Amino acid sequence: MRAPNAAMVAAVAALAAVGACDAPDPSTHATPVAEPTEALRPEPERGRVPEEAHVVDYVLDARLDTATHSVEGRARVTWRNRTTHPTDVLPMHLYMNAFRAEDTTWMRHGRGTHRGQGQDRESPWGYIDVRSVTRDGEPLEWSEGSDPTVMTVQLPEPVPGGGQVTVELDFETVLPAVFARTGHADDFYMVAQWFPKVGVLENDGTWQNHVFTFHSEFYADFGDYEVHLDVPAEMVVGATGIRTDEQVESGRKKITYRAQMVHDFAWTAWSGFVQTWAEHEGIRIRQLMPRERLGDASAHIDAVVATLDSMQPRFGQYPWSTITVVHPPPGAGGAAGMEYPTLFTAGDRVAIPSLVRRLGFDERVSGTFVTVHELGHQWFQGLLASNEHAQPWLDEGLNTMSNALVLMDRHQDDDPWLVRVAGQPLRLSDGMRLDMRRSGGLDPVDQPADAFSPLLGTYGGVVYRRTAALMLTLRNLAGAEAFDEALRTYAERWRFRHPTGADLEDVLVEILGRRVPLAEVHPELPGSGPVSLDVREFLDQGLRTTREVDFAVREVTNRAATGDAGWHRDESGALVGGAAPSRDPVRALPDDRVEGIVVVQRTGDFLVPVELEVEFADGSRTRVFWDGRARYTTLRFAGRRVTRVGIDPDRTLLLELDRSNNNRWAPGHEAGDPIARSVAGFGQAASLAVLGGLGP
Amino acid sequence: MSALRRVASAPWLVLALWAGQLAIAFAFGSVLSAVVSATLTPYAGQDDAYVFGAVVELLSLHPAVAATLMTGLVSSAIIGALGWTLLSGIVIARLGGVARPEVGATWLRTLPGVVVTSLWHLLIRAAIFFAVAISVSTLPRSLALLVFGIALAISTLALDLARVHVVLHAARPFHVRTAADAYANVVRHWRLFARALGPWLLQMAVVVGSLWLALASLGGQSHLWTVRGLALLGIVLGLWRVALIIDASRLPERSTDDTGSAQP
Repeated sequence: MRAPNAAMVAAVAALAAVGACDAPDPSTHATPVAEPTEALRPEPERGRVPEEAHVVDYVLDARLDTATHSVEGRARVTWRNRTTHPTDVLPMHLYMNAFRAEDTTWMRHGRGTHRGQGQDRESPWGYIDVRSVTRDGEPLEWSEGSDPTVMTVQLPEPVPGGGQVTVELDFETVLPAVFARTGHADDFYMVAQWFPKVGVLENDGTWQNHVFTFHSEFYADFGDYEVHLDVPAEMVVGATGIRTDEQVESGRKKITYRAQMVHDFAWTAWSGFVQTWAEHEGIRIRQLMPRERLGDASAHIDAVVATLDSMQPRFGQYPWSTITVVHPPPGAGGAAGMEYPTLFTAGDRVAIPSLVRRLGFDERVSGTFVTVHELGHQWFQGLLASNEHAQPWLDEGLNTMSNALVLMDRHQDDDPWLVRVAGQPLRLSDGMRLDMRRSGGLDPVDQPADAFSPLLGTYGGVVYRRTAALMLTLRNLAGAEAFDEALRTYAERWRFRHPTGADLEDVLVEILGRRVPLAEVHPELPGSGPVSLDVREFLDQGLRTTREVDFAVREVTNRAATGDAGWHRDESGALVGGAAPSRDPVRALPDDRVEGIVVVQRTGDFLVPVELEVEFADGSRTRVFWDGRARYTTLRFAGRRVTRVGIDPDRTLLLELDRSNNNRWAPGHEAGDPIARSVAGFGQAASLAVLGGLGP
Repeated sequence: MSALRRVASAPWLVLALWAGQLAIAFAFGSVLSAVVSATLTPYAGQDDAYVFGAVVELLSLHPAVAATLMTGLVSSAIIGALGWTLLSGIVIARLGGVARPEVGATWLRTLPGVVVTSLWHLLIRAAIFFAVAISVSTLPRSLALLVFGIALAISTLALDLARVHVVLHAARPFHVRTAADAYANVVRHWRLFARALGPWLLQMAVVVGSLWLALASLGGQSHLWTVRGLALLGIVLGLWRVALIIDASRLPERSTDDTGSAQP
C-alpha cells in the first residue's frame, strides 16, 4: 500500500522543516570597516561639546595576566575643579571592591547573585588593590572608606575653583569569574569598573562619591581617556573609543585606545571573538561575537541602525565615531546586557526556527531588544549623565521609554507587539502593564537606587517600567508632538551634563505648559467643565508616590426620563393635569423618553483625567473626558439610551494596571464578551486537540 | 478489504467517537465560559485587537481561571487516555473483522487484558523514555527531538499491537511479555509497521494544527468548527492506523524474514 508511505514521507518532511532554523550567514558584514581616526564625529555631525563639561582625563596602563585573571595598572588622573568651591580631597570609586568579601555593601545586598547569575565557587572574588598614590612623585595620604568601594585621597593643598590637580595611582585589579557585569570566564575578559575613578564635585561644592550598592550603577564626569592595553597576542580586543596604535611583540599585543568626552572606559578581550562590521552615517559599528552567534550578526546591526535612526532625531546626534557591540560567549552571561561609553554588551536572541516564526510564534524582547536598550544608554546616561545612584529612573526609566519609541518608529506602530503566539500579539502596553503589576504599589520611582530592596524585586518594575509608562502616558495625554519636543529640548540642553529629575520636570512643564487642555465642555453634558492635565501634579504622583491608576465602570443603565405626569400649576395658579405616570418598562419606551446613566469610579488613588466612550442604542458614540478628581462621576444623557461604556478606549493610560473593569454593557444590551468567548473557545479547541492526541 | 475501507465501513463507530470528543470538549468549554463570565461580571472585554493581552491579563489577575483551564486540559488528557484504553477493544474488534453481534462480547472478555497490557506498556514506555532522555542529553536539540519522536512512534505502534494481540490473537492478557513482545515486533518488522506511521504522523500534525488554530483564533467560532472538523479527521486517521496495525499483526505470523515481506 503506497498511500501511507507517501503520507509518512510528507509528514516527516513537514516535521523536519519545523526543526530547521534560520541558516547563519557568516559572510554578512564580514568586510572590515576602517578604524576611525577621531574618537568624536566631526562637529557638524555631533554638535558642540561644551568645554566646561571636560573635567577629568585619564591615562591608563593595563597589563592583563591571564594566569591570575588580574590587571596590573597605573593611572594618571588629571582633574579640573569646574566649581567655585576649593577642595583638598579627591574622593574616588573602587567599584571592583564590591566583590572583595561577603560583607561589602554590594554583596550584603546581592548575596552572591546578580540577575540570576551566581558567584563562582573557584574564582569568586574580585578586588582592586591600590598600591600607591602620588603627586609629582610625592606620596599622598589616602584611605578606603567604611565600604571598600570608595577611597579618599588627601591633597596637600586645596584645588581652587578653576584649578586642576594630577595624581598617579598604581593598582592591581583582580577579576572575579563574571557574574555581575565584570570579570572573566575562562579566557574571556570583560574588564569594567576596573580602575580608580574620581567622584563628581557638584556645583554646590559637595562630592558625590556613592558607595557601590546592588542596584546603583555609576556616576562620573566627562573627560578624555588614553589607555595602553597589554594583552596576549592572540586576544581580540574591543574597548571604549578608537584604537590608535597596535604593536605585537614577544607574544604580547600592546594596543592604545583613545576616547574623548566619555565618563568611563571598559574593554574586553577574548581569543574566540569573530568580528563583524557595518557603518552608518559615518559611525563605525563593530561586533565581537562568538562564532556560534554569527547568524545573529545582521539582526543586531539592523537593531543598532534602527536605534540610531530613531534616537538621533529625538534625543540629539550620537557624538562618537564608533560603537562596539560585545556578545559574551557561553558561560559569560553575567557580562551580558550592560552599557559603557561607545561599547555595550548584548544578549542572545532566542532561537526560533524559521517555520515556527512563519506560524506566528515570535518575540521582540530578547537579543536585539537588549541591543536597542544598551545602545539607548549612550544617550541616557552616556550623554545625559545623570546620577544613576541618586535617580536611577533618569537613565533606566527614560531609556526604557526611548526603547519603546524606537520600537514604534521601527515598526511604524503606536503599540507594537512584543510577543506573538500563533499570530496573536501581546503588545507593548500590555507587556508594560503586566510587568508593572508585579512590583506596583511598594516603591516610588524617584528614590535612590539603594532604597529599592533586592528582597522585594521592585527595582525593575518601578524604575524601568513605571517610569516609561508614566512618560508614555504623559506623551499620550499631552500629544506626541509636544512631548517629543520637550524631550528633544531636555536632551539638547543637558547633553554632556548632569541633569537631575527636577531639570527634566522643569523642561516638561516649560514646553508642555503647567496645564495641558484636554477637553472643552461636552455639548450633551451641560454641567461638565473643561478638563486639563496638571503636569506638575501628574509627575509628582507618578514619581514620588506609589499611587496607582485604576478606573471602573460602576453603573450603566437606562431609566425613564422625567415626564409631565402629575399636577402642575398653570399660569393662573390653578393645579391642572393629574395624568398618571407611565407604567411602561424602560425597554418599551422610545429613546427620547429615556435617560442614559453612566457612573464611572476612580478606584485608584492616582488623580488623572480619563476619557470615556459611551455607545448608544442608535449606534452612535460619544467621547467624554472626566477630570478623575472625585471618587466617581455620574453622566446623564437625556433622551439617549446607553448600551455600553468603555474607559480609556484609546489605551492612553499605560499606567492603568487593571483594564478588566473598563468595559461594561447596559442591562439588556449585552452583546457577548470577547474574552469569555475566547477563553472558552480556546479551551474547547485545546481539549479536542488533547483528546485527539491521546485518542485512537 | 483495505484498512481505510474498513474504517469507512464503520461510520457509526467514527461518529460515536467524534460525538464523544465533542461532548467532552463542549462540557469543558461550558465550565470555562461560566468561570470566566463569573470572574468578569459585570464587566466585559473590549477591543478585539487586544484580546490576547486581555486573556493574559485575565489569567494573571485571576489564577482560578488559569487553574480551571489547566484542570480542564489535564482532565481531557486523562479522559482521552482512559477512554481510549477502555474502548480500544471495541474498535479493534470492529476493525478486525469480528462479527458485529460478537463485538460486545469480545470487548467485555478482553477488557481486563487490554487494561493490564496497557499498564505494562505504560511502565515499559516510562523506562524507554527515561533511557532516551539520558542518552540524548548530549545530542543537538534537533537530533534529540528526532530520537524522541522515533521513541514515541515506536511506543505508540507497540501499544496498538499489544492490544490487537490481546483482542484478536488471544495473546496472554496479563503477562508483561505481551507488551514487551509488541515492542520487539515493531522494531523487528519495522517495514510492516512503518505503514501505520503515516497516519500517525498525520494525526499528530492534525493535533498540532488544532492547537495552532485554537491559539491563532483564540476561540473564534468559525475556527472552532474547523477544529471540530480536524478532530473528526484525527479520529479517521487514528482508526486507519489501528486497522493497519491489525493487518500488520497478521502478516508476521506468515513471515519468516525480517523485512516484512510476506512469505506464503
